[in-house]
Amino acid sequence: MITLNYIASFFLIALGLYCIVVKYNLIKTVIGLSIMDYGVNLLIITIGFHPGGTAPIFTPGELNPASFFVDPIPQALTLTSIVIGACVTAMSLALVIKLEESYGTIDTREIRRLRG
Amino acid sequence: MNWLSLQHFPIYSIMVLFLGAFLIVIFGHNKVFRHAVALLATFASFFFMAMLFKPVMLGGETIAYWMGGRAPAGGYAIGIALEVDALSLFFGLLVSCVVFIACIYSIQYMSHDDNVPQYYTLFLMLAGGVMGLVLSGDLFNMFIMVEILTFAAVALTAFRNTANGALEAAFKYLVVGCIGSTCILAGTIMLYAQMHTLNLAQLSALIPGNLSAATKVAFALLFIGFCTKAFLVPFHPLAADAHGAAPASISVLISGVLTKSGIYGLIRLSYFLFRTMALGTMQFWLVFLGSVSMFVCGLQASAGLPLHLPDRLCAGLRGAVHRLRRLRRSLPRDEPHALQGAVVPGCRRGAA
Repeated sequence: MITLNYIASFFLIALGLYCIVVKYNLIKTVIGLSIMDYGVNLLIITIGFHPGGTAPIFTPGELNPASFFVDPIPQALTLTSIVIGACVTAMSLALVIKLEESYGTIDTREIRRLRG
Repeated sequence: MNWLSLQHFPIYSIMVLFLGAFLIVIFGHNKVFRHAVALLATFASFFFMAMLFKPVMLGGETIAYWMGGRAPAGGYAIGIALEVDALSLFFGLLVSCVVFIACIYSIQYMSHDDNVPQYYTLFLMLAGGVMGLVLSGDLFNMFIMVEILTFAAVALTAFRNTANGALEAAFKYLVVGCIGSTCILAGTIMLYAQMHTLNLAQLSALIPGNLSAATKVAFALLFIGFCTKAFLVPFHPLAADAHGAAPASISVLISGVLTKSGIYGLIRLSYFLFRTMALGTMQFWLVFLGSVSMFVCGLQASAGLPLHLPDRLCAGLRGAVHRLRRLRRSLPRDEPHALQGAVVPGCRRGAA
């Protein structure tokens, strides 16, 4: 239960949401999407932590009821989420490139249907 | 035959769509091959769903399929489950039927476009994502499938990237869709933190006695996430753009399948996980949200249409929006038949 991590993760989520909503540069919007994803990843990892636990990697003979390890499931969820975040970034940047080609600008105040 | 012999059919129904998508990536330059694979995959998915009709709908069974050969141990759900009950089967039949019909239509409709192999790949991935969502018995699996279908839908919205407003519509859909997915993930992980399980059945057993501040926040986050997928009120503008910009066969899927999958997520969340069917505030809130969505979307669709959209599309959009909101609004009554009354119009809409 690391309080600082939880505070930081919710701060990152809020910061990412602020960037998405307020910024009118498309690249900054994409950065905001990524920051939001990283905040959630930090939240997931922190939820799985047990103080004093070891890494959840055991050979078949080592595992016994006294072993105390951190939760492996949130680590698996985080890996999946990191990959999803990378795909989001790639896809949104591809769209930004096509938008720049067709409008010559990445300012949402200029691009006709992206105002607001 | 009893349900045990059919227990693999849910996973077949999902995997045949993804397998078709991957085959089209490799061999899609051959036109006959890709049309054959697309039609076969969508028909096979529909066939497997139809075969489950008798034991699940008529016989009242619930098929639980544990992936990877795992099984529950010590009263605890281990591994990822697919769960087909009557609600899942209803949505599964609706989705697979609409996808099959849209596939038949898109053979002729997309014949003059370029990059058609990529279209069919994305189409089958979208279909597979929605089937995975409605058949899933695990909350994180639902999140993954929601992500798959969001990205496939965004790419398909931008497919004709020289069309008027296609890129902007896709970017809006991507941003709002990703915000929604992040909310679903945050809600999922907060539920996991409290309940230490992701299995829908086990969560629905554990949650009602254990509501705390964190589970309520998780409910709110999941609710917002699924509302973005269903295009309810604060998130409705992107639907109008996406419908106009996407190719018509994809517009069919967006209105008939994707929004219904968002509603499916809301039903699972409110009624199965959190058991709010008898809760007065929740009933009021769902009705209010659905009515406001209907009203606002109808007004905007009628009043704010740009002049260059063809009339057919305008009428279709208005009709789609109205029918969806009517479905949404008729959800929260707590008689068992009301849920049927809510989803039958959805079936008609999907078939229309």
